[in-house]
Amino acid sequence: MRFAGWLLFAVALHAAGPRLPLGLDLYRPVPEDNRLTPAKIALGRRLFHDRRLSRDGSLSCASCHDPRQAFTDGRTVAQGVNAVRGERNVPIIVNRAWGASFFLDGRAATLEQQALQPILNPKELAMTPEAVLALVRSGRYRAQFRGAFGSGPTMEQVASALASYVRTIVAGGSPYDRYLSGDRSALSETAQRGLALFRGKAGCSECHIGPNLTDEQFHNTGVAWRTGSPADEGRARVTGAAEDRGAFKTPTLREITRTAPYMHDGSFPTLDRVIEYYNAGGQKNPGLDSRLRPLHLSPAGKQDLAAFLASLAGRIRDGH
Amino acid sequence: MKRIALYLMIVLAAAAAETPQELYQKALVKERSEGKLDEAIQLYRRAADSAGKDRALAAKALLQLGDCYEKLGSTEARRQYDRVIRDYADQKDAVAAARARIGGTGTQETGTVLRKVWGGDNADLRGRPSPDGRFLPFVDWTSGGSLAVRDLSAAENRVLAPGNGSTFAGAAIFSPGGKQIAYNWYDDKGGQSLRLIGTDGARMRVLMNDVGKAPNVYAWSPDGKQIAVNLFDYGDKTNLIGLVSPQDGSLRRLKSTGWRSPEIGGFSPDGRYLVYSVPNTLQTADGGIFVIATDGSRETPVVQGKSIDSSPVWTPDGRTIVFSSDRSGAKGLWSIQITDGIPKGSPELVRGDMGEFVNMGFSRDGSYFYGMQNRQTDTYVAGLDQETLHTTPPKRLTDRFVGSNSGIGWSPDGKWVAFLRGADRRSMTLVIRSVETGEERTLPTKLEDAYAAGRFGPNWFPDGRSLLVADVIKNRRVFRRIDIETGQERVVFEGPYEIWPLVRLSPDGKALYYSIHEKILLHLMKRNLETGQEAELYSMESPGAGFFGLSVSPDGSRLAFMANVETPHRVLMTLSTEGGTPRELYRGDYENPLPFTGAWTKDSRNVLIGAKDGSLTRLWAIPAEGGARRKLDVTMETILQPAVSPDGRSVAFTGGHPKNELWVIHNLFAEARAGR
Repeated sequence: MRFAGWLLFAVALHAAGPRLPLGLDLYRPVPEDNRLTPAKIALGRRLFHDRRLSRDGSLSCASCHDPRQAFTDGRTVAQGVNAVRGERNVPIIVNRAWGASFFLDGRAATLEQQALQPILNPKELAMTPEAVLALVRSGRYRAQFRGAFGSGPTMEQVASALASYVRTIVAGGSPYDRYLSGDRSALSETAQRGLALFRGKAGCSECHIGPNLTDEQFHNTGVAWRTGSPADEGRARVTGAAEDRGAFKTPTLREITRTAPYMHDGSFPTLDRVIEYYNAGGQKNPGLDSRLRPLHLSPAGKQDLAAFLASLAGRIRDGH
Repeated sequence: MKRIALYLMIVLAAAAAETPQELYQKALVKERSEGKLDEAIQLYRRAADSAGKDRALAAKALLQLGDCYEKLGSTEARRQYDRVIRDYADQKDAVAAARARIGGTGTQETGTVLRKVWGGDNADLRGRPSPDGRFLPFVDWTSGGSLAVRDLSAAENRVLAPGNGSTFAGAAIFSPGGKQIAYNWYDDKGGQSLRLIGTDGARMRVLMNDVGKAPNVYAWSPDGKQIAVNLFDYGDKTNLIGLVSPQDGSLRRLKSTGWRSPEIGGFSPDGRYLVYSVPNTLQTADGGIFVIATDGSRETPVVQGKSIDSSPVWTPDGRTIVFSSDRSGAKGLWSIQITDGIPKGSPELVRGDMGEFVNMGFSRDGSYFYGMQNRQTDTYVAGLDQETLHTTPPKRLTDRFVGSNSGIGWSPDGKWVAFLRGADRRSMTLVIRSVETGEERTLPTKLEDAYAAGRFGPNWFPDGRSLLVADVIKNRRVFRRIDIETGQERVVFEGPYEIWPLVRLSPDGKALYYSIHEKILLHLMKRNLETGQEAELYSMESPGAGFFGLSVSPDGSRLAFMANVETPHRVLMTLSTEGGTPRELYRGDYENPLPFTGAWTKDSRNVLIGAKDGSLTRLWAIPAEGGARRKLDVTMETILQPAVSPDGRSVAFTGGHPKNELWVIHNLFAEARAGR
């Protein structure tokens, strides 16, 4: 009888969905053909942390997206098997359930499309589909896939499970969120001044908007153009459009104090450098986003802005 | 022989084109596609006269004839409707439609009943009808913007929360039990709150009053426990569909919609779902109508595509969503079946070609309410003698698309005017019209939001072949230069949404004057369009969104503009285009007419302003060197953005006869079921 009561409670809890951290939308987009289930999430989490998903068994997804470092790795650019140097800084992957496209150039439209690419990328985990399937068809994985999907394993199911888990990596509950929810003491006076700059003179909220502080759009901020031509074509690799050369997706600013170094190439080791860069108006180039202009922030203003950015650190949660 | 045969064929073909049915069809094309009402009138008249035994066609033609006259604002419309009722009593549908247009009740063969339940100067469509359909909450501007309730049966109004012109009500909805009203309230500092009040006017409570956020109220859940709002954040200009507890004002964030403003249509009768729409962007068709579970567990697109689909509402049985769409080419009412939050089948037309209607939802008994916004704005031109300030009566510039033309600017040589055409801010067309011949050329634009362009009119560059028009993209102001020969567009200036969209070019086209507000500070700016350099010309504290009526003197040396000062005053000022101290020319208040729109005369001796004169708006001349204002003999319900022609002999403006009407349809779907 007690068990039945507990079961009812568990079912009701699951139906209502887990409570998300403060500041996030109640609605978490999930594809109809890959609904979140505890079994899929658990499987995805296991895959995410499994080093056997790299060619030499040295790396897992979590090696670069390390939960202890806000799901980043602290390196300038990613490092794959055999210490192969990647091209871009590892992006933070919190709140990606609300993402509109994936990777810094947006080349994947869904998390399911994204999930396998780093595993199969020769510069990252360097696996082959056959090797992935051989792994997941062995041992406990087979039963876990059956439990999660009722069949398989297949590569699509690997992608679905990983995508399910990533959708549960959420960040919120920061002082900024508490402040927006009405707790006016949640931000220091310095941070409040920084927020005013963020949304006003500094123009950060021209792109960093909404609960995840990103417009999910692509912008040429000039970082890729510091040598006179784009060192990384960015979004143009996907679209082929000249105006997208050196443009990258606006990243979330959540947990930003924990995700150094910054920019798509990890070229700024500190937040102060980032603020200085934008204060100077960005590197001029033919496609520089017209919103970038010299900001003329005072030293105190820059400190205020940094204090505000620090207030975006809250709680990261995964697996629910 | 061959020649005779050919001749006969031509004659026969010509005769065939002249059948009453053909005439009627041609007339429809003239009226609806080309907007040539005068030609349509002739054709409808001929169709009716020649219809003979086809009485159905004759009645239809007369009905359309009346519609054309109505669009022209002619009393002849009523005569034609009366004729249908009197002479074609056997044509029940036509008679019902004629009665409906006159304002009576029309029962059609299908069982559909149309009834106009409110119309007139103070009819307001911001509220939604009570669950029993008997009352409508509205903003009563005759009492300073009070929240009021209209008894639609007794035709009586009752004020619940008095406004004073500076603080006033906004959108309002009834609670499911009909005992309370949730409404928006605007204060004199630009703030917006969400409030509750009993329908007896007692127990007012402020539910949400967060500085920096605007909670726009849309719907009350059937169980009374949640109020759906669009919470607009002034900070990052984003929107959120939120659920507010009427008990304690607590907010549940349901879904962020970014820069796009959602239109929330209401809860499903079981309270499990909300329906809402968001617009498409130019680049994507990812807007449309969506159903979202109120527990956040699921969202389903209901209708998506390139058409403009908006204003969704549920039917009382929860099985259908009706919405506004232009998918057939004209704005009409459509429906789609819904089961457990999932759409079934394709959208079906319920009523076509409804014009600029507001989908206001259903009462519990299934009666459908909608509002008609008859803005009837048009471009007018009046003759002007700048010495004597005598004017000739204003004439409508064009008889095409009457009621849908607005915002006008003269070309530098005075041979052309440019204005916007269309009723929907997302699908307006730029029209270039020859002053001499009336020849018109239209340019479809890529404007995402043509409201500002339509309201303030385009600016001509001195080359006489390009225009500057305002747009809004992702809550940023964007100003485009459009080549009128090629239609090519390029952005010449963009900035934050706080830029007031009324901007003016210097006569040499090198400088752009604009205003921007920053909290309570208004800045008047000059931007060098070649270098991008900017200079602040003037700054002042003002509760307004911008400097109104901005106008550059013909020699480019002075600006005229208006600003709100302490309530209830608004001042008209002039200022050198190099900056300095402005000169106050005129101060309006509730006693003296408040100015809201202005233009310099060619000799720069006067600034023409539009300002209230009794219930009408009048053009006034304010001497630029100071002195008493003078009345011009030009009046209309509204007069916006006058523009004096380069030769100084004409003044053009946007004028109108705004008129709202509330209609109710009983048995809405009978018509659609009958396949009409």
